[in-house]
Amino acid sequence: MFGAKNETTNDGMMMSRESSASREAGTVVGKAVKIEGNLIAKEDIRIEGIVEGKIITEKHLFVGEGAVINADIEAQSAHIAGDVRGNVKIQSRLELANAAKINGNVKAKVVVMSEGAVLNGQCEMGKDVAEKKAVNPVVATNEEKK
Amino acid sequence: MYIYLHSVSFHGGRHAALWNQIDIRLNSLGMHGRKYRISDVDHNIFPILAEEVKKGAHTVVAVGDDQLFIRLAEAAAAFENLTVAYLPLESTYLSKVLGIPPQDLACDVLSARILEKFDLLCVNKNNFVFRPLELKMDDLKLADEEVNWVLKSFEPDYQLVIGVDWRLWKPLYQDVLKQMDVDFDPSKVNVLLFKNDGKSWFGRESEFDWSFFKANKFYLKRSDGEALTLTPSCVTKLAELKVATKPLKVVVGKNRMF
Repeated sequence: MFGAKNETTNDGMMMSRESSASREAGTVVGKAVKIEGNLIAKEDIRIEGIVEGKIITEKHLFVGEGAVINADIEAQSAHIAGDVRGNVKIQSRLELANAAKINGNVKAKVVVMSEGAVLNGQCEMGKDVAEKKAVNPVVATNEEKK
Repeated sequence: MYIYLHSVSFHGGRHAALWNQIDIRLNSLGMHGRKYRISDVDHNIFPILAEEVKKGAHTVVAVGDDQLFIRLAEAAAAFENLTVAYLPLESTYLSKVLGIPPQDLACDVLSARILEKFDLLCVNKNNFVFRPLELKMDDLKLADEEVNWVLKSFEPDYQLVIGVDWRLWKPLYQDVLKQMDVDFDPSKVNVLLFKNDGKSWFGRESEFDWSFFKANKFYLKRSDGEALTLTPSCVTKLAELKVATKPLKVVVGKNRMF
């Protein structure tokens, strides 16, 4: 369906695609769906379609191949195989699959990047980067509304 | 005090013996009560329930088919402390899921009075929906509770299914649900959007595409602003969909499927 196989990159690096794709997600945006606005969740989010706005989750974000994200992203962890136009801020581990294309700045504690993945933007990694601001969807949205 | 709503379509000479049998069994169990004949389409159950609740009715039994039971459940949800029960006249989908055998065998199950609470979908504050709403997604817009986002489908023929408590309905959607990793939350409105046209292309099965959302409240409207028909009694330009404040008490059998 959404591909539940592990993905081995050319350099032998194992991407945990299975754990990302097969877990039950609280929100699933299918291929034929377009969301305009801020997608905010306390649970896992899986995106295969189009999102324009902002994506914030306290948990895991899975962006499938073919997904188009015109949005800034904040998540605990993420696996990205689609096209992201926006800044990406991940608290722990960010995986970029070989089909991933990011046009924006990336901040994450750990970045795992497959051969073929494209990152056009600044990349900050390390413990300090991730701990600068904890992801809190409720606070984030309230601040935005002000 | 029990009240019985009889489906008028099951009345007639050939069912006389069956009615008699059920009556005898109910009376022997001390479950006698007033009976009303309900027509299949236009008969409004709500005024009957309102009148009977005033007189002290605590349990209303739908004697007939699934359609009548669903109509009863949706009308009864408006009343506090009213329990609904089902006495199916033949083996049906809901009779199996609820674990209630048909005809006079159901009387003993109703007498045992095992109760389960079910949360219903509430549309625009006063319309209650027992089974999931099914709509074509074409021309519809869905928004979450604070209108943080608006969802549109850009391909035709997608099916939108909106429900709260899926315990009774999972078997009905098992072909679809087995292809999804859905984490239903019975305290929220759960929305499925899917398309599986079953067409194959050079022998390859078409890919099953689906979406899933859950929130305390959703808003639904047509893109063209025209009225949207959600149920025969609920036609609206903007539907507010949320979980009904009080769950519905339903008599179930010990052989229920959940």
